[in-house]
Amino acid sequence: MNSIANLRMNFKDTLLPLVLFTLFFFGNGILGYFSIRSVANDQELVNISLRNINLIHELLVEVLRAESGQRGYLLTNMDAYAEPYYEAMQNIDGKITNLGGTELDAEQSNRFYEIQLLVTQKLEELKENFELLRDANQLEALRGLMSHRGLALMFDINEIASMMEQHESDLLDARMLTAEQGRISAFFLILTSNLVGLLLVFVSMMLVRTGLKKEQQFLANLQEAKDDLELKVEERTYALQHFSNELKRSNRELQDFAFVASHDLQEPLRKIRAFGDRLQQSYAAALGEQGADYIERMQKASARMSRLIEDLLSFSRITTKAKPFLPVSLGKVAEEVIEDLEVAIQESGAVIHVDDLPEIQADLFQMKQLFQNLLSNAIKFRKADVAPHISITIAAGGDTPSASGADLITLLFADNGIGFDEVFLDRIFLPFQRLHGKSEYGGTGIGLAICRRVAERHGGSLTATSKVGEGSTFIVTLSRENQVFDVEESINEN
Amino acid sequence: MRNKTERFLHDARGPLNTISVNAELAKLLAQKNGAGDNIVNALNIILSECQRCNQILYEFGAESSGDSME
Repeated sequence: MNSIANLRMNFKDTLLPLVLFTLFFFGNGILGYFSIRSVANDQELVNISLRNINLIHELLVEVLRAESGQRGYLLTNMDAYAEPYYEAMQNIDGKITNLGGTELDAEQSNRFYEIQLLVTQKLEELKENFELLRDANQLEALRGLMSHRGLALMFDINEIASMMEQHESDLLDARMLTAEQGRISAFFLILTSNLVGLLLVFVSMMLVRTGLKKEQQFLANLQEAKDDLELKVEERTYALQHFSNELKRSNRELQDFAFVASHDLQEPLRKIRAFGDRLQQSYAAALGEQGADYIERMQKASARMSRLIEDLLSFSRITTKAKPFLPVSLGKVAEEVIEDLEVAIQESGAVIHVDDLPEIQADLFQMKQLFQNLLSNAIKFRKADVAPHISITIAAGGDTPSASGADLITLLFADNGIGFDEVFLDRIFLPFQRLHGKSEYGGTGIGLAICRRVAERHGGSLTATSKVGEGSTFIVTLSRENQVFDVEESINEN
Repeated sequence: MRNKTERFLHDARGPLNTISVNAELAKLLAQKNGAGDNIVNALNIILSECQRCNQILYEFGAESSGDSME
């Protein structure tokens, strides 16, 4: 279980940082890409502005060259001076096309159309005058020049070109500022990303180090727990062995004791009872009333001692003289025991109710002992002047397989007798333990100990619930499919 | 086991003492009343068997406590 938890922990510890790292670097890459793209865009805009300024300037120069060439030709009438005019006239269209093809905002576009128109008019004016000169009509050409139309056009072209240059210069300044800011932002972004990356690497290293430390600690704890467990297992094994030895010795002692009791004690006891009988039968008159009373008391004590020894033997025989388990009808057992107790039942006026009881694998003799002891106790420990009401029932759900899978049956022996205080619950199941004086209730105090031992031998248990003055319920659990389990044999095998 | 043995010995000594005491009283009464020897002899046998039982219980008790001390 711990290893599974550990595996999960490792998975979480390794996969999570990996995912975070991947996300971080992916995000970082995207941010870097957009930053660089933004810087490049800004730079491109700056270049456009520079190109536009250059184009405006070149256009203006070409117009001036055309005008200058025309005037040189007018003054000298030499073709060499007309060369700039021809060149400029050829270049101006290209310059206008270039300027029109660049990115211009709405304001600049308007100016472009305006300057385009003015340049066209200026070129037409130059062309007209130049044609007049070529046709040797110098006077008309001078007249045209003197009309100041060309000067006005040139003045307008200069003004618009200046405005366009100024506008592009402003744009250039703004774009350069934006580009600079973009570069600074990109620098700080990349710097920050790298710092965060370094921090992540550092944190990862710390995590890995902590993880390794934890793992080492975990392994050390595991080893410690293993050693501890081994020690505990060793201790428990020793305790179990000790307990097993004690149990073996206890059972051996019990058997020895039962043997001594049966053979050594019963023989002189039989002699005592035999001589007591003879005195009662043959010398009652000679003994007199008081003597007969002494002998009577003596005989009662002898009978009590005999019963004590017999009960002890019964107790020891539960395991030593156990019989094999055979199908036993518990209903029939109850019936026979009730028949055996007929006199006591009639004398006490007892009413006994018995459920339909099933058949189980059991030792018939011991089942009879169990039923007899519990029923006779229920009759014996009745309330004065109250007829005993006794029931033998199957507990609700007591005839179904238990959680452990064992097929158990739970029987309830309930009575309305004197009951007992439950603080004495453990005591009543010990041999020779009594809750009441011998003079109040007869018996040797071993009946319930026998019952518990019988139930345990049948794979079950015996316990009770009780209230003083209200009665008791003895709860007997038995296994339906018993296999012969001999404590002594089991211990010997081990 | 020791507790069980001690409890049994205690329980067994009770009736045994009752037997002894009543046999002694019956013997004294018989002797006082000049009852026949048969009665006194029978009571003597009973008393001697009581002694035997007592001896058995004593020996077993001693053995049991000796075992538990081991």
